[in-house]
Amino acid sequence: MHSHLTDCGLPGIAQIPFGVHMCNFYRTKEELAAALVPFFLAGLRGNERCIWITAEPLPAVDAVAELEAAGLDARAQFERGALVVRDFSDWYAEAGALRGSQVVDLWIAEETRALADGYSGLRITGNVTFLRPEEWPLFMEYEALVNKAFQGRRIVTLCTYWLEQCGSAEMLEILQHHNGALERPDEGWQILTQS
Amino acid sequence: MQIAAANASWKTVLASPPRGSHILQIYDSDAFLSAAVAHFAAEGIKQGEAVFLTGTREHICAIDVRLHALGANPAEGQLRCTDLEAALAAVPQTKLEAAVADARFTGVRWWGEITSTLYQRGEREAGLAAEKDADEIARKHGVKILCPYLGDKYDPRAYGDALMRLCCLHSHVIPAEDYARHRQAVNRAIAEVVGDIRGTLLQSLNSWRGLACDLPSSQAVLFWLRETLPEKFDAVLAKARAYGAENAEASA
Repeated sequence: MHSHLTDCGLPGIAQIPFGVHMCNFYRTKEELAAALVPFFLAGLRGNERCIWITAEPLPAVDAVAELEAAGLDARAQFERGALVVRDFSDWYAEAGALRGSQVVDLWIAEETRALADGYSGLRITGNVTFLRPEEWPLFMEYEALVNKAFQGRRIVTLCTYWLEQCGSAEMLEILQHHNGALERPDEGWQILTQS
Repeated sequence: MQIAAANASWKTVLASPPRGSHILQIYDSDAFLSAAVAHFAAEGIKQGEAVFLTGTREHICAIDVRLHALGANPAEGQLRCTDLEAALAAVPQTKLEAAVADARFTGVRWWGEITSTLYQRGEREAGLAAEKDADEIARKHGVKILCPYLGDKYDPRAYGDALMRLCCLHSHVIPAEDYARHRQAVNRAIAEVVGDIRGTLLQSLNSWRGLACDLPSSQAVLFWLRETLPEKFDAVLAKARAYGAENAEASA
């Protein structure tokens, strides 16, 4: 029987439940890497299949370099299928034409595959700097679907938003479609919840 | 709050509102008022619904001109103007109920500027009572109701408790003619006056329950700011007004 909790990986936050759908707002590439690298290292340590959909300012090649700088043998993880790092433009070629509910189904199928392959769950992140303003409402609908559909599943999700693209109105929408926000007020992290 | 629906344009909101919708339009120009009401009425006519208009003579004339421009072609009895003074005393419930029961129509829409008129006369409690009556009609009979409210969304004095109460008596609020421009102006103003939303501010925004109605996030965040940082609210509105005007000039 798998535990319903897993290590978050970020200093200051011990464990998070599977099914959690978190967001993080960042200002710089360094801030983004500081959140995602330990997040994925913890996922790999916990035998989770980790999928990182990248975009500027941290494209796949830089994301892999950050993981390796943290001591990970990324090639070995790719080969055994535990880690996938793909640029959004590459991933979009396959999934981009799908509607929000179909993308959710795709992630759930991915979870099923991961569990069948012996992993304890699925850990995913997407950085959404590729979004155009006219795509925003549809993307928020997708986030709302994810927030409902991932509850109780063995999926841990962290969505990252660049503050240059998010005003306070967008932040309000994002917060309402996630069940936690990761923040780093000092050296340690905290998770903000709606309660 | 349903974010996607709340952020759709006012034209989308007014084209096919669900049965029982009770929508508040905050307007600061007669042109925006008549454009919205004409769109609401024309779409209702097109969809086979009965449409009632209860407003001042000036507004009814302006709406009529726009309805003609939109090519609205109501059937006999489908579009009716009812007397505003009579409606101020009591909402035209009997007429609305009769239209609901009329098999010729697929639904009923009603635009009435009762509360707005009462507010302008200083009769706020009477206005709120009228809204409660209208809300009852919307819920009970599935009538789709559009209410106007004359107000300057960038004036801090407009943000009294009365506006909050009024918004909460509606299912949906339309605060601006151009949602994208409003969002840009509000975002920029908050960024300059407040700075990054982090720490306790982020926690506050995350915990904020919002109002009990659908409204665009750019307006919702102003209500949040008024509660959370009242000392900065006036400055944010002043800047948002300036940026809103700037954006309007740029797009003209």
